[in-house]
Amino acid sequence: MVDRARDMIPVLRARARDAELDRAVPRETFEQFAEEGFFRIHQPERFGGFGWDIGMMVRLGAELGQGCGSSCWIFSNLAVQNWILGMNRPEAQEDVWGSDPLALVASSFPTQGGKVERAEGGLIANGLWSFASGVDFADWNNMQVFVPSESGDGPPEHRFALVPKSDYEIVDDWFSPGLAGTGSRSIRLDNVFIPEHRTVPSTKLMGGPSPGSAINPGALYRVPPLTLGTKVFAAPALGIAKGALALIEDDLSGRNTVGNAPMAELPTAQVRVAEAGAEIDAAEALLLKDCSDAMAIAEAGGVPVLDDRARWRRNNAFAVQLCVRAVERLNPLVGARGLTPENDFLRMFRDVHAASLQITVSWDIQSVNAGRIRFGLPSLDPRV
Amino acid sequence: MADGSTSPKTGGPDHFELVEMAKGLTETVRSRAADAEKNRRLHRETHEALLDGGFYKVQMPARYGGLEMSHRTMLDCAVEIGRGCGSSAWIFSNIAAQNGIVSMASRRAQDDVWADNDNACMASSFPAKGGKVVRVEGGIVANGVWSFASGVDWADWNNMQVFVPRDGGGVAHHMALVPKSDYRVIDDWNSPGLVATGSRSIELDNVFIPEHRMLNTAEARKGATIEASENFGPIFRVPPMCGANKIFSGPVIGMARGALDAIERDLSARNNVAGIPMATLTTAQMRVAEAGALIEAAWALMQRDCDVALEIGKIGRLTTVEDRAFWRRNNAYAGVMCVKAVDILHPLIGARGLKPDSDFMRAYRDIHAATMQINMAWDRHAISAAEIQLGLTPSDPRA
Repeated sequence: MVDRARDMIPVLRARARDAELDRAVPRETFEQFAEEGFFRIHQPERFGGFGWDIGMMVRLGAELGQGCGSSCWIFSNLAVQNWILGMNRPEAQEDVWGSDPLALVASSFPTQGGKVERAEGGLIANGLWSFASGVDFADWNNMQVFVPSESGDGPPEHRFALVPKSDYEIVDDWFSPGLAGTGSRSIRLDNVFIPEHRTVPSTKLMGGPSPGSAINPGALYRVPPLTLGTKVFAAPALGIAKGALALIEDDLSGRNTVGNAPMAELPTAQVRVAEAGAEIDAAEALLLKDCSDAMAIAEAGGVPVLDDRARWRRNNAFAVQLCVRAVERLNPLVGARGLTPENDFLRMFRDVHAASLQITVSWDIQSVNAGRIRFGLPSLDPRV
Repeated sequence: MADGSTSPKTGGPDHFELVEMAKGLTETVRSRAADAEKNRRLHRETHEALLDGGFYKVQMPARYGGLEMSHRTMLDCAVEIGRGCGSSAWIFSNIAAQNGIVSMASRRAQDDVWADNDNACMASSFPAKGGKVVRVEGGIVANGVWSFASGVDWADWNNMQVFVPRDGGGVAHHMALVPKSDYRVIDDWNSPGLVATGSRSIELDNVFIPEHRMLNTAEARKGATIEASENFGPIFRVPPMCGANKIFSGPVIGMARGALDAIERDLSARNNVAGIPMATLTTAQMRVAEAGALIEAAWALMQRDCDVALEIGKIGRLTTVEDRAFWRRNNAYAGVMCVKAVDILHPLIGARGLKPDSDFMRAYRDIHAATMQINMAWDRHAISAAEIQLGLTPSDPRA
């Protein structure tokens, strides 16, 4: 499967500019991904998925992102929701996959003020939920919601809440300068009832048995998605950085300066490509190591401790930093000739920076929290 | 395999057991480190623990009682030992690596060293101060000073790096084994870092070295010495001079971890002059987070490259110039990351850290010394890798 993803790089790259202009991944790309089974890598086997280790997301992302960061982002975001659904309550899994095991789920976050309130037997949702990467292709949305405490004065409870696409309308508000092709639009809900069994508190997904473990006994469904699963954002960043390096290597290998000196022989250019290459290799090794460490703990029947979870979150954010630094390091080598709207490197430059703004890979936030936890202070983020 | 193990060995420790044993040494070597630095040599007890624990035998052929374990095992042990004392990890790595290198020499050379003493240890050395060899009938004759003989205090042999003049001009790089009766140790190791390695020089006066104790490293890189060595295990197919063996980056990662340990311990309990806990300072939190991430990334990178090298050894293919250039680049980069981590932590030690027995400051001195080793030199290995990345012919003769 990794080989097939690699084979798709040229065609993804050829479609990437159109995806950006259309603010949507081309349907033919989506269909190819679906046909290859990319979205099913972490879906439970009982619903026809592969149930593969989380490292597979990194390995596929490292390939697909070389062609088109936005397409890769849609791959990883839809694939990760199939994993998270596998950890959800068995009834919720049955609702989504019972009649259609190929059903796909996007997610969203209430940055524009979407609210839920408690109701008899569930929640009522109203307003906008944003950043619904994959919404163009999804049959459901697994919204992040903050449920007011029962007493009214405690902190709200963070949950995932599943709604079918008939329950929301899509608001076309994605005009980002980076990852434009993801079409990560908002959804609007108007007085939508969400039954309790389609919601799951994130505290049930902190590693160790999840609600879904009752029907999906594999180790994968005992790995904490909110700390380890942030690979969903790092994997595309890794792929994008690899693609950017490959472009520069190809370009410089045949290019001369205005003084007719081969660019490839300039020591400053050499140090840039060497350091970018080492940064990217280090990011990839770190991401895969965390995946295998987490899987090893789950396979041994263990539960990751706070220090593990904090380290994975930190390393994941740092891997994205390494990718961003690598792309920034290479940027001067593009030269003024690269300043065109369709330049592939500059699209990757925009995309990797957009990816790095996702909150779970934001270095400023994750580094402070990781440092606090190393010093024995309480986590600022209850989801770590 | 994720555990980095090679073929199962009868009776000896496995990867996890040896790494656990290394963890058991961390505190012991830390407690000795300041004294060892003053003495400019390790404690004999440290050497004996490494010898008796079988650590030096990690890459020695099973035929002589060695463990034939992976580069990964060697790396992970060095990291754990180096966390306590960089110099101890350095001596472990250097002696263990020489066992791996002698494993590539002729069967007769291996017998000379190990047939009667499977605890024999080798140091190595480099003619930085002008030691010379000349060709003679049946071998070479060595004269002069060879330096940086890390482990010389404990070694029974020295596997010297020599540049043998070629008939048509130029030189060929070889490793050449001499017993300790053939050289005199010169106590000239007064380095500001890795002080306790006691990496002194040796002086040779007209010493004959027979051909069978010499290993042509270019031939070894090409896999042309495997038949004569009679060592066919996967680790011997990916020789240390390919850059697959993390002789120096393992201790370096350990030193950085030791530095981070010292800061985390110190800051978790310390208040600033205004009585505010240092651990609540956002800038301090970001420093330990970045240092921790850098160190773990460096370690993950080295583990991955070790695992790849082992896979190559297992399928039995020879290494390519690309393999070697990227291994060397990543190896040096792991050093860059670890030095950066220690430099990021440095301001947190405060003026109170400016004392001779500070664990952090020793790690700081050690890591800056360790990354001077030519295999850790980013400036060199970045260029070699870039030449490959950009389609040029490598300019480094060791590529």
